[in-house]
Amino acid sequence: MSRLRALRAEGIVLAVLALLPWVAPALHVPADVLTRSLIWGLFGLGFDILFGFTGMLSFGQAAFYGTGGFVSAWLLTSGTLSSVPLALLIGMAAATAYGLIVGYVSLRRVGIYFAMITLAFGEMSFFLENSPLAAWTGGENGLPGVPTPSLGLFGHVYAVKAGWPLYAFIATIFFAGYVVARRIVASPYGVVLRAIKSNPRRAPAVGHDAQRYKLSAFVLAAAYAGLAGGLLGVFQGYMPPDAFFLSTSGQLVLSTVIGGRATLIGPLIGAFTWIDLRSVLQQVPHLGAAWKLIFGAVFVVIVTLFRRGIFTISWNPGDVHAVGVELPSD
Amino acid sequence: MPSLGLFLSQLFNGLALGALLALVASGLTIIFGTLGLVNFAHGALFAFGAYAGFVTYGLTHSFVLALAAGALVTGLLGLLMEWSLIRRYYARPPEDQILVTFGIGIVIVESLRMAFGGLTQNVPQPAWGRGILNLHYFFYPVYRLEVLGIAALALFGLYLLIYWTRLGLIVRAGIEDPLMVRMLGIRVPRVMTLVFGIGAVAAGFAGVVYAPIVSAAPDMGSSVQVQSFVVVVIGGLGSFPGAVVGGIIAGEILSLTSMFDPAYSDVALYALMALMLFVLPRGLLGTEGRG
Amino acid sequence: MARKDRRVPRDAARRDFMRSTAGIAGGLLAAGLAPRAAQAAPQPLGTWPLGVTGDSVFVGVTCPLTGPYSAAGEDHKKGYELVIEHINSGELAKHWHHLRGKGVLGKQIRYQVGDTESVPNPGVQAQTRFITQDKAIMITGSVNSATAIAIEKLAQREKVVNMVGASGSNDTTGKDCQRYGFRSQPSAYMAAKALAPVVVKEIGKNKKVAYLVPDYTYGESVFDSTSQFTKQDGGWQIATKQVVPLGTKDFSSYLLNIANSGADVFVNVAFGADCVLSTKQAKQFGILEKMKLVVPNISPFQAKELGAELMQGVYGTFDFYWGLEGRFPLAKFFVAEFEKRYHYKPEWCAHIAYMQTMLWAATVEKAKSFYPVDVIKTLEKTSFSDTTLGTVHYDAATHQLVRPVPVVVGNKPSAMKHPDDYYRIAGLVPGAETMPPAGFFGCKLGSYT
Repeated sequence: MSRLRALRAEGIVLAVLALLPWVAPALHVPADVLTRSLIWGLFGLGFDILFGFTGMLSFGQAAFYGTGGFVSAWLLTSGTLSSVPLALLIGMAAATAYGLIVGYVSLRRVGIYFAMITLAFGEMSFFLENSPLAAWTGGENGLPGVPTPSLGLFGHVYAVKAGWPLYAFIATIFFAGYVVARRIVASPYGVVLRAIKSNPRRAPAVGHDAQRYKLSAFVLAAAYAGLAGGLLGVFQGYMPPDAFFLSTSGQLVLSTVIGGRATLIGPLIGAFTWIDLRSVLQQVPHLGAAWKLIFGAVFVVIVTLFRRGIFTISWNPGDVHAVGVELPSD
Repeated sequence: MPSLGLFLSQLFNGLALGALLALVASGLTIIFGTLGLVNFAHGALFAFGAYAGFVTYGLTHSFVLALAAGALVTGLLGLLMEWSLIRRYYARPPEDQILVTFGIGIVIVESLRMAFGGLTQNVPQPAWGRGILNLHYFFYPVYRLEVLGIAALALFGLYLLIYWTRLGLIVRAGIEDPLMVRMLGIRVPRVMTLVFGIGAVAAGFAGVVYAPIVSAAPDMGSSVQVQSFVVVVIGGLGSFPGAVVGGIIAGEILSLTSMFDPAYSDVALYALMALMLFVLPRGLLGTEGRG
Repeated sequence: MARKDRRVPRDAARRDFMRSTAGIAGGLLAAGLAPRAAQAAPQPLGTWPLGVTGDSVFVGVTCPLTGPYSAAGEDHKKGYELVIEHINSGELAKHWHHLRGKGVLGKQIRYQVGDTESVPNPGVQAQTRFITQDKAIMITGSVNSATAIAIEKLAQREKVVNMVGASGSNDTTGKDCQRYGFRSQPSAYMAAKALAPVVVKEIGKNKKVAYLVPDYTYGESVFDSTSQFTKQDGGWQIATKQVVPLGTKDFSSYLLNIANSGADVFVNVAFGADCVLSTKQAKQFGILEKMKLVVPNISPFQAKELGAELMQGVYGTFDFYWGLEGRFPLAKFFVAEFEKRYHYKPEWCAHIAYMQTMLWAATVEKAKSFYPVDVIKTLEKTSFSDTTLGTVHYDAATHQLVRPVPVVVGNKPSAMKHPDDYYRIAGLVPGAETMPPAGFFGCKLGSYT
């Protein structure tokens, strides 16, 4: 990939993010839906590195989303910290550390086991949040009252209000996260990750300690998840226990596959699709609960027929994707 | 310290809980052992079975028929799943297999929600299951006692099927060496469809058995599915005895921990799983070389 | 399609607003802001005045349509459907003198119902959408306290009046109370204070009690208040307290602990489907033969799902029982209209929806304004007579509705006069007697603007 082409993709994403506040209202898409999608998109950037590029399917990402979110929210609502960016960073660090522990244990088994184990750790994290740690997390109540950020710029303090200002704040963070993820994927490190995916057995043979690469991808995904979780609390003014739900991890997998794996931007597209679909369908009588059925059916079709998601069908169909033809087991 | 009566009753309850988990997990493990595929729609099949039982009970007022129909209809759904979609995935990476079963699971659960609503549906206990038994140290509901017996019988049935029939021979041979089975001229695709159906029967049967206790609800299978994953990680994926032993261990942990602090019972289960991964990464009875 | 239709008034509203800010008083007059026009016009606040410039206003409703509270949520939703239709058609104004004509200040109410899925986040998500997108002038609805409190805080942050839906936690009008939130359901404290003397009298003094407590703000509230008052009034002691996660399916291990606790009374605090399931399983474990069952806050449809056989002799309270139709004329109207339309007697979640929306509409009529500060100040000082519960008012310091609390006991199947006659009203305790002392829960309401 030439350097210019690399910058082109980033330029397009930047332009779209910057234009949306002017374009979206005309299309009747509210800031709320876009901001929420961006948070999922950021969550998905890390997950795409882990799953799309390295081929490790985790069903427990909610654990890190929740950890980052609750650590940030607790710091802000308990009065320990007043700086939102600092709280977000600490939340992200906590999620990263937790990712290191969970990743170390989960990676003792690969492939099929890995998906099941991460799912179980996701559930464990939910139960931990729910009861033993309820004094800090609010248990099933979550933590209401998370403040919006205030940014100091050249001596002025600018309070970021809900709506488009908060969109701009989160879009900036998303874009930074996107650029970093692009750099990671394009680097020699990213090439090794892809090698692990296309042939899990050969990568170690050529001298890379695959286990360490996998762990680093896992930790990276946890860091992105933690930051996204923190932003969720700031965005809503409320950190919900739902962040730890099994369905949160599942939703991330759905969005990523529907939007397109190994595209980085796919999870954002997928998330926007379901958030918008959900809000549209809720307005149609008797169809309120149908969004998930429709989404599930579309998902099965995409997994079966269009392996690279809706985003890549239209964008770069020519890009050849390594199709792993493997026997069910060895 | 908890009293002797409480300890014994929780120990017993753990066994009943564990037998059910073992049944669900054995379906999972048979499918994996033969097809090399983890069924993320297993919890959905469990719920589907419960609803099939609910509908049958409503029509016939016979719990035995509900049990039979629930298992059978879920088995048919399993056959349909394998025949229409899953068989296209044997040559694809395990991640895709997980994704497609995960997606099918969502479709099943949400279809149940559309058809029956989000409310729980009451499946009454059979007449022969009502009442409470005095077991000297504690009282225990008759139906839960019978669940233990039914689950044990079903597990024994599965054992006979796998270890004493021609189909079982193929299944076990398939676990050992799928290529050889194919070379011997056995029509593998048909066997695979059948095996998936049997796994679905186990899930659906367990769903009907559990329905009078918890009532049928669309998402009733999700926690059972996660717990059965833990069971197979502990017992060893692909091993039938592993599923049984793992199930009972899991049931006991859930039940016994709750004596001290129920808040920790689920956490303790996952903590044990993490510990197992350190000590015996392949599970108690797992076979070498898998996963 | 539905989406497109809905946008039209919004754009029209924006144009109206532009015109009115440009100095055309007509828009303001039509918006019912005339009294303000004479004074210095207030700054825009929340969704005001954008939300009131058209000939209709939007109300954001959230109900759990899926998940463990979906039965109650469905009932809740029907209450909103009915009351909004009654307000829009002018039907309610014919029966209740606090309202006038069709709509509220002549404006029709539009609304949408978002699904909370019985957990907080989707509720907050839907209400955020109703506020930013639809310029909701009032938000309402919930069937659990965690959701209610999350929405209340959102209302305060966004400066939109919130008529809280079903929520029994003390925190809703206690430590988490908000200037913008008003609650009509009795708090756990009020319910327990009304219930305790009755159960102590009926069941006896110095009993040992086993509690099954759902693990969230409502459960803890009910547990605290019930254990406090039964101890105070009758010397009841806690034998065991089993805390269960929301949505538990198999209660066996908790129930074994309760069965072995040696308690005389089983207080089941679980709510909705959880309460039905745990009570059913408690019966299977023989607990109901050994212990008297008390349900401090009886869930909607609980008697229907459990059957009168199981519910006979069970003590409890709730927001409203259709049997109150004999005491209050408006309750009779509400019950009859509801039954005519939905073919069953309304449960209390429907009543909360009906009453809260009705009180809000009456307040707006009285204030002659949708301006949030005017509405809140009017709500804080108005006494509403002849409601479905007689004369009621919101406590200005906590925004808790001071209203009578019905205490009921389950009828024997043989004593039931018709299929819906599940309970006998054992007492209707005046609201003022059940209120906590001023400042008891440390409520600080926050600012008007």
